[in-house]
Amino acid sequence: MPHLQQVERMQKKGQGGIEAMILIGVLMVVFLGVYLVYQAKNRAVLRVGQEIEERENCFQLANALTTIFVLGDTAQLTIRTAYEVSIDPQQQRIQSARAFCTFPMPTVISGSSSQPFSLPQGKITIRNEQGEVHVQHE
Amino acid sequence: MSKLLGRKGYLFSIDAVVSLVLFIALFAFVISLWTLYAIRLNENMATEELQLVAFQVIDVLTKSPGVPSNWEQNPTQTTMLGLRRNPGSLDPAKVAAFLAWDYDDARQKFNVERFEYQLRILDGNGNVFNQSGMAPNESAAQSITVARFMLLEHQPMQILFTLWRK
Repeated sequence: MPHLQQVERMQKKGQGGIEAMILIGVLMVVFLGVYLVYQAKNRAVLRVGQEIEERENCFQLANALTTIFVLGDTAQLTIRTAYEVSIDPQQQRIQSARAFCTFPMPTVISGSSSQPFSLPQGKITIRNEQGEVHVQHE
Repeated sequence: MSKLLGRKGYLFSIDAVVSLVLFIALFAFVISLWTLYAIRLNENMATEELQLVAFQVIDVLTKSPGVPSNWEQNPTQTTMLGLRRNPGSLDPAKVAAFLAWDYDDARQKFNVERFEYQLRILDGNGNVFNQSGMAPNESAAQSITVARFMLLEHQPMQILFTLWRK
């Protein structure tokens, strides 16, 4: 008897709706598009987050340079930077991979030169020597 | 086979189309909101830069005597403009020299050529004692004013530095 019921169930007819298959296909395309947009926005958010961190690092360094300059001769400060930056004293500009900022005084030196120089991440000592701001990586 | 071909079906259902349209509308709304926040974030970042530069410039003006310290006597040898005589007080000769300084050259000295600035000195009653630079006008997209209180000729003065961008 159970065998007969099983045979009867197997003989029942079903239906595969063509509209359901088309709709599922359309939904898959739509969700694929949504996923691609999500990926693009996600990358943008990560990029902006990185840019904000580098700007903060740049501002920290610019503020330190300005502070040591206004504090006058023999003032000294050590800060820690999280990103590599390059400083152009002639353009009064600090540049990192995704951000830049400026500082108002042209008397920034590394070593004995006022040429553009790079600072790797890490400890940076800034000191004022007779109005000139000297920057050195520790 | 001919019986199967004769059967009628339907390709779309109205509820599926309506739900799809609603979904796309909601998605477009979320994307536009996302874009709006990105624009606001960029504006905030620009404002932050304006604030930083304004604070840097007024700190240099009010806390530094300039380079060289007697720059007002040798304008051609001036590297950096500063107004301080003693901590908390300004030098009247430096103030007069700065107020008469060429506007574009001052912007170049402070590395703020991409902005415009105005410096105002207010007396103890809030009246404008003196000023230089360019006041923000209707073309100003963003502006920020920072203030410092300093002594000038033994009188307390309020130094207002406005930095703005077109």
